[in-house]
Amino acid sequence: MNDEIDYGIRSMLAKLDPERTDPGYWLRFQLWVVNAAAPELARRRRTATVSEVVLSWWRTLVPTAAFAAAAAGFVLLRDQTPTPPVAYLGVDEMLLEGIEAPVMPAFEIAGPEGEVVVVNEVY
Amino acid sequence: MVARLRELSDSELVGRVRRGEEDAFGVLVERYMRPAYAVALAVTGRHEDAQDAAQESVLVALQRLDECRSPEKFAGWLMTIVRNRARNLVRREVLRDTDQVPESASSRTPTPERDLETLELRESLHDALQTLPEIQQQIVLLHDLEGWKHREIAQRLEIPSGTVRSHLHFARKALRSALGALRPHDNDEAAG
Repeated sequence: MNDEIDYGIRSMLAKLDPERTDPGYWLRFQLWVVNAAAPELARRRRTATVSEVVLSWWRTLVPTAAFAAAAAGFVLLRDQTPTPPVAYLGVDEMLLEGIEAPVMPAFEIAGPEGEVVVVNEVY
Repeated sequence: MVARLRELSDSELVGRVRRGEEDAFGVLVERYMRPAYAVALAVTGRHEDAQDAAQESVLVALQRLDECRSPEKFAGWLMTIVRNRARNLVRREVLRDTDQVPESASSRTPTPERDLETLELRESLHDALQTLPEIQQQIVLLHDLEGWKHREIAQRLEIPSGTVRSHLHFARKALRSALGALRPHDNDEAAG
């Protein structure tokens, strides 16, 4: 409690306290304000409930998503390790590799009437 | 439950009220309704207006509670709202007649207030207070009536502690001078 109060002044100012002439004034004051605030308090409770649900989802989702992202990143980085270059060969190249190139006949349509011309082609 | 809530700090209570806890709001109202009334009375000078301003301010504070960025400074924030609401009330000249007391907090039964002597004393006090600057009225009411300390007033009204002491000194001096005739009787009462 404040020990520097001027009790003479205090006793005079106390006459301005509505409770002094109207017993129960402050209790009624408090009840009136709390009753008047009921709709706003109810709105806050509803908002709090919704936000708590969102927050609980958030609490679950964020760590899960972070873990998944970390795992995916790890896998991606791991797959990007350098591998020796690969030379791709066609099957026909593999089959013909090392075989002396024979002269093979080939057929072409040479004329407007559909005449066929035999030509030599080296493989 | 409420007894435990009374032990909580303003900051903790504000947090609970933000979530819509009615009991926490009740405790916050209980804690600051008297200072809010005192500040409003200093501005309006009339009981009915002070009552309206104080009640409205607490409700406005609840609606704007999310704007209170420093919940530990709730009291100062609330007092600012009270001062502004009370000043607006005076500025708009919506002062009501004394007999149009709202049902909100006024007793419906006759009270000793009807006693002429008491009324005269109260009017004298009101008149004496009204001779003081608004800030001095607030300080003397918060200090000598509500029991707030210099430091608390300084923090909550956001003025230096030395200024609080200075205002309090001049306010008391002016009140003693204005109410000199009433003092012997009051001192007897205070002693009793």
